[in-house]
Amino acid sequence: MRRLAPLALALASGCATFAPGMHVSDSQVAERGTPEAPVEILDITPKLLV
Amino acid sequence: MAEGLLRARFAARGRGTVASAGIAALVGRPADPLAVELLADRGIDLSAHRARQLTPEMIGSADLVLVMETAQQQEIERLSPASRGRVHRLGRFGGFDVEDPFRRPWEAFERALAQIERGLDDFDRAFWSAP
Repeated sequence: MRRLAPLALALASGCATFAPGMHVSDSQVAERGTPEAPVEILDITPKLLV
Repeated sequence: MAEGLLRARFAARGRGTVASAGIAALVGRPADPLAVELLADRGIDLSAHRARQLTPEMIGSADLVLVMETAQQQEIERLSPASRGRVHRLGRFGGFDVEDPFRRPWEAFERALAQIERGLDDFDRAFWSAP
């Protein structure tokens, strides 16, 4: 009998990930904007499958 | 067990969804009673869980797919080539497979649970924890 293959969808909060080990917080991303060209942080809901 | 543990972690964070499915699932069957008991000791209720068969649609809708074994990753990437890069072994950072406790005694479930938690901790540190 083959084992069940857990897949799970997961998600993270409070940080944007560019690569494993590299983290940039929402506030750090927002600070890259200007009054003329603000950076909008969207509240995403990641889906994880196990 | 991994789904239950992830749900508990995400509940504390306030966002994110978790689902689980099997490559060769016993569709409609509940979680193993040993797994239910083991997670109940941690305050996680698996009693409503029912096994689901993995579909390409599920893979396509997931932002991240975590598997227990290298062979599962290969099978999923074969089923859905577009998933490459979104599928990772839970023991990726520790270099291990989570041992399948199916039809094995309590100790095997405890060992699998410990491996799952170790893998989740590693992913937490690598992907989801702010510095």
